[in-house]
Amino acid sequence: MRKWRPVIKATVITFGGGLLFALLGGIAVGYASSSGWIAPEMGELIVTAVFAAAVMAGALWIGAEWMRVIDEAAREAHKAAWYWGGTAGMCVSGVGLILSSAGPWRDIIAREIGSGGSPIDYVSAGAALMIAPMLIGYTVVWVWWWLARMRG
Amino acid sequence: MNNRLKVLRAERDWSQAQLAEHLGVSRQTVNALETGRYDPSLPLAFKIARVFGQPIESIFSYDQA
Repeated sequence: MRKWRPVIKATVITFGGGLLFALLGGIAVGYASSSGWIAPEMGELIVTAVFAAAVMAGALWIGAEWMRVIDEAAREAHKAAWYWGGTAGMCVSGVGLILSSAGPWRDIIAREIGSGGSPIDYVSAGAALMIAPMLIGYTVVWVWWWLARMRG
Repeated sequence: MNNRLKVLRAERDWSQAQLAEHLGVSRQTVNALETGRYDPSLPLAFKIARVFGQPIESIFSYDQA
């Protein structure tokens, strides 16, 4: 259990610090906007952006500590999953990117999927559609690697 | 790659978990090594050789067929 201490520490600091920052940041934004120093939306944007960046950096830190703790076979599983699963996921996303970037079929696709929403919805959907196939690919390859070698 | 891990472990009457503890890896990794489903890195191969007090080439052999 002692070997997991750096992972637990990184997790507590990341999420505990994140929650504390969100709380204090929210109070600060509320005070600053009610005093007329900053527009409420701008304050919320700054706090949320810093919160998101800090939590993502913390997640990277947790991952680094965790990779140091696990043994080499477990690390190999994640390397294989990242390369093959992530790459395969990117190939799936690449099809969407090609089809949505140019060509007369864009109108057909747009008609089929509908045309509601604002540009920011499309940014959000695009980011999710890039990440989701990579995550699915990662999971599938990791499970395959693990079951092929580590069962028993 | 073939190896004599299972034989060497049996000679010492160690469980997979005990060998895993000596090597600083998980029991699943020892099992994967013994069944030939995972080939160790060079540092782990040296560690295995040191734990059993034998040269690497007497534990691991490369089967070209």
